[in-house]
Amino acid sequence: MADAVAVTSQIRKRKSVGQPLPQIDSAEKVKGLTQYLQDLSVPGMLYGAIVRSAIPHGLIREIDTSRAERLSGVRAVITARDCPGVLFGPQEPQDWEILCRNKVRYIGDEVAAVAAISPDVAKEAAALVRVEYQELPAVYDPFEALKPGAPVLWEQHPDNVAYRFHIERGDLEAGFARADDVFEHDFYTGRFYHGQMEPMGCIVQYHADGGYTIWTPTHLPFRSRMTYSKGLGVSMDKIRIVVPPFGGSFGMKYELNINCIAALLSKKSRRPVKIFFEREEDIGAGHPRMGLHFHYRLGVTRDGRFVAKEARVVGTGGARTFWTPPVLSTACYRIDSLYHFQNVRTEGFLVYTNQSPATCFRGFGNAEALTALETFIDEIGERTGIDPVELRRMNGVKAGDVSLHGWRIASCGLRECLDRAESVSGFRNRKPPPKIPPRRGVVRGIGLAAGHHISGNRIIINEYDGASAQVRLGFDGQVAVIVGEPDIGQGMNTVFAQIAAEVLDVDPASVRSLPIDTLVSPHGVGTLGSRGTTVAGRAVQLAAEDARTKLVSLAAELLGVPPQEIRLQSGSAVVASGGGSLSMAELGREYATRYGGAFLIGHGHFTPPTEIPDATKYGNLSTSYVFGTHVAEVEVDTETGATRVVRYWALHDSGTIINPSTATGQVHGGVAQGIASALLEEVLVKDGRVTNPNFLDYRIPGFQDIPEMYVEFVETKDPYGPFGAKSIGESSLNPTAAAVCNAIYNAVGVRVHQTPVTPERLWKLLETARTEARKKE
Amino acid sequence: MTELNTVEYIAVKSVAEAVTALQSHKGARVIMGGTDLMVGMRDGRIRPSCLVDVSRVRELIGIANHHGSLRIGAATKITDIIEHPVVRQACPALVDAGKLLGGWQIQNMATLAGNVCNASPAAETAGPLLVLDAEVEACGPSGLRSIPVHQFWLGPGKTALEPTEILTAIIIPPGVDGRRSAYQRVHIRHSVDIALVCSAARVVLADGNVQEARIALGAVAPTPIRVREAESYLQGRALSEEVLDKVAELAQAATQPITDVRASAEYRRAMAGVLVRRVLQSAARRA
Ligand SMILES: Cc1cc2nc3c(=O)[nH]c(=O)nc-3n(C[C@H](O)[C@H](O)[C@H](O)COP(=O)(O)OP(=O)(O)OC[C@H]3O[C@@H](n4cnc5c(N)ncnc54)[C@H](O)[C@@H]3O)c2cc1C
Repeated sequence: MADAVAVTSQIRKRKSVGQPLPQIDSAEKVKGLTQYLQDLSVPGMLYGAIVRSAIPHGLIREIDTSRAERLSGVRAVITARDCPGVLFGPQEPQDWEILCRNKVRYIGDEVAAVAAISPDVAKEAAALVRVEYQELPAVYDPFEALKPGAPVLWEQHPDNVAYRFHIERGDLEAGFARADDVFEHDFYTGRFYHGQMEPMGCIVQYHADGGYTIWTPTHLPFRSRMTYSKGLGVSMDKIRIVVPPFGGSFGMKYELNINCIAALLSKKSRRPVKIFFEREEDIGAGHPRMGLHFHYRLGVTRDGRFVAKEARVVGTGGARTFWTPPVLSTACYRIDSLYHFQNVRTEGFLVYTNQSPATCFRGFGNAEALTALETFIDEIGERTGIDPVELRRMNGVKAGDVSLHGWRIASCGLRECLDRAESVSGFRNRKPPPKIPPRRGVVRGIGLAAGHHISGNRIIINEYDGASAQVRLGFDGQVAVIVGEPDIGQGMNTVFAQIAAEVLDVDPASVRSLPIDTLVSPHGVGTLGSRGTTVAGRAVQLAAEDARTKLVSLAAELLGVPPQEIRLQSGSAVVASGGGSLSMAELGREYATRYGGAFLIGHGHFTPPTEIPDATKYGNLSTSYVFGTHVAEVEVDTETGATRVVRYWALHDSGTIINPSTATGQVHGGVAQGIASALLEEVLVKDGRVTNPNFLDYRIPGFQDIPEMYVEFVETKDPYGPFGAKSIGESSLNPTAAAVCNAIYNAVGVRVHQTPVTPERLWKLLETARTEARKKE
Repeated sequence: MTELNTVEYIAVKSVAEAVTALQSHKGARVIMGGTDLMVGMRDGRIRPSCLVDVSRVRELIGIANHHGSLRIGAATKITDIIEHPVVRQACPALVDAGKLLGGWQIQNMATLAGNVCNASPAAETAGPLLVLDAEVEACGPSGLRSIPVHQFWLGPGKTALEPTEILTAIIIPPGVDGRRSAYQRVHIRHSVDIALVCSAARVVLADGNVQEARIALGAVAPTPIRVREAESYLQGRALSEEVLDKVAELAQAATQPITDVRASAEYRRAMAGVLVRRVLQSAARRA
């Protein structure tokens, strides 16, 4: 009897994990009280503006800053002469300069900068800086840039290849020899702007010891410090980064050169300097998702097995290297952990072109690769007569599998997602597409696509993968979580609070996560690669468990019972057999009183089962893997080419869902962004100039563009994350564009090979198909 | 943004005061809802020396229906226009357009006068006003005058108004039967967008045949245009498939579209044909 009671109390229902709690800071945000970067100012602060190249490619002959310097209110003007002059950057090849030394490489390249007493004066001064150029021929198309004789952006890279990716596993030729059919597919995903509400910005203050404080919303406070430290020529510990609340990023705010520009302006003016982009600058000279060209060749046996895959992926990286090399490699080989292709070879090229440097975007190349691959599988299904869902089931990975490149799939809900998606959406009963697109009328179609992603990534920094956390209780009874990974607006602090609250059995709404400041926070890899909940969250769980042990022994001592007798329950430590309890506030005060005010601190750290890939790129990259299936239903106006997504279903295996509300929010946002990438958004560039740098012609979706969504989580059991949680941040977006493209095909019988599928693009395809059909008649 | 802080601002109480203010301030501009003007000033495209705010002038607000004509005061908000029962009955094309003009927030600020005076080739309400044979009432130092709307637009951003004149009302003259009228556009985003091409039509039917027709197109020429060839072709004909095909062809021939960041000339021309068919059918189904 006694045993049975003990068991039930151990598996007591979770109180906090699994609850759809509102985000801890949502009331502040909704009331407009949150202080974002643009609300912050530091006494004496100046405003910076950047002098940008007006030409796509050229040598700098002369820079005349004298008129800007004479303008009243200007406190500093800097050029390359004020920069340490090293090449640095977040990835290889390191090609950042802070300000251009000899050459400009895109319209918007940073040539000089000014700091002044107001944004208007700074802008006016920037316009007074005269730069003389000797123009050079420019190149925008990556395939043109790869041709011999093309204009060269960087002497060190005469072939314009910034980074080359190669992977090969199995025996490709033998694989193709076994294939009964070989299919080919081309797809291009366009340049896509993050559209985050808050543009890029920072405040930087120079200190007498030669160091800097940087206030900037960044996913990577610790890693970016390494980059800036090299660029500015100061040691890492001299740079302090404080992360204010995020106004959105989606990958834009990893590491940005403006932090270094503001630092040098501050150094020269001896005043803090804020740089905050206008929208035109953020789109026009910012760092969107790169355009990616995919070419696939896939060998398939008669019964639908994939036996060989050859791929070539070409990325339009722009003029400098931000986070595009790992994006390219992700686009090249992450899909090999969704399906067993058995024998693969992939070549990837990251190409320098005269456009603003691209960077990473939610989905990190995998969303793009899945757009290409999942539209391809839809087509293969049709051409082989094998149901495309069956193809995915047959070739998809399973729990316990090790992928071709050594990725260990501990849990996998791919099949459950496919099954549920089919049964809730009616995909199975879809009508076949029309043979010829109808001339008039609005037609409906339904499309399905699968996807997957990682939860953390081994190679963000070389030294380690993992996270550490502290959960502490203070004199005032406050339970606080301390981590090194910033909440980027997606609600991680809420999730951390729920994890800690679950372990300690306290009210999650009372748990705070401390803001991130590199001076006080533990070293963190960063909030990227969908790792926050899984990796940092696991550290929080372990820290809370450590705190629990310490609390229990303190309470046992104070209450005069053995520790086994103590249970943490609803915010108190109670004696299990009755008779005596202490609240968290009492325990915190008692501990602090005993030890000179000290916090009771639980420590936790988590090292995931990941490996640095070897020279052949073999090695388990991520803590855990997530899967999903999306179904989109669209209406296409066959005369105008306009597409509207009218119904949507998203099924996800993200392991245990810590907070169904924030997780569903991630799916809503991911799908909205995915629909936008499929139908609406593209940064248009003509002769190197962005022609739609505003929200009139760069169209982010509104409510009328996004349908109601059915969201369901298929909870698998994963051994690594906190309570078995995996990720959702990026996987929520990954299958969307392909599902929409497949639905368009089902509606009109025309395959699209490029996103976004704007009305005009689809209209052209429809017209071509109709004309060809007429010719055949 | 400097201009916004330093520009002079006068809120007037009457039309006469407004005209005087425009006369005494060279480079002054009338401001209504400001939904075009403020955007232009922020971009530095428009640099007025002074803003003359007429949005609260009593005599300019409201919709009056007398002697068979409909008079829409210049300062009437789009929201008030599209919710007005007489307008909804007599000029459904204008309501179609008003509902597409921006979103609710914009409709609550924006005015018809502003849309007309801004003279965008893609202006939402231009086509409906063209097919309703609307007249623009303007007041200047020498008093009132009336300009047929088809003579009002001279080019992108250019109108027949003198710098010292203000638009006081839009008038739908008596005898214009606007019950069978409609407006549609092709756009990319379904929530708030600008027309890639837009079209309005009005028909008066007798025994299923067209007695009178008006067809207008926007964003296919430097100003909104009427397609007179198609209008006269339609006279006396039923809206059969063949007739609509011919009308679409005539409409396309009347366009001089450009290729820009929003659409190619080819697409615009094709969509002009598609829209003209659709608005004619939609108009004919009304009443
Ligand atoms: C987010 C957004 C969405 C929009 N969407 C659309 C859309 O879908 N379709 C569309 O057509 N437009 C759209 N617009 C443009 C704008 O809202 C409309 O053109 C609106 O009707 C302008 O009216 P207003 O009262 O705000 O004009 P204002 O901005 O006040 O004035 C516009 C111009 O007209 C002049 N003017 C105004 N009144 C008079 C007068 N009585 N006499 C002489 N001159 C005068 C002003 O000097 C100025 O040059 C949009 C604008 C925004 C910001």
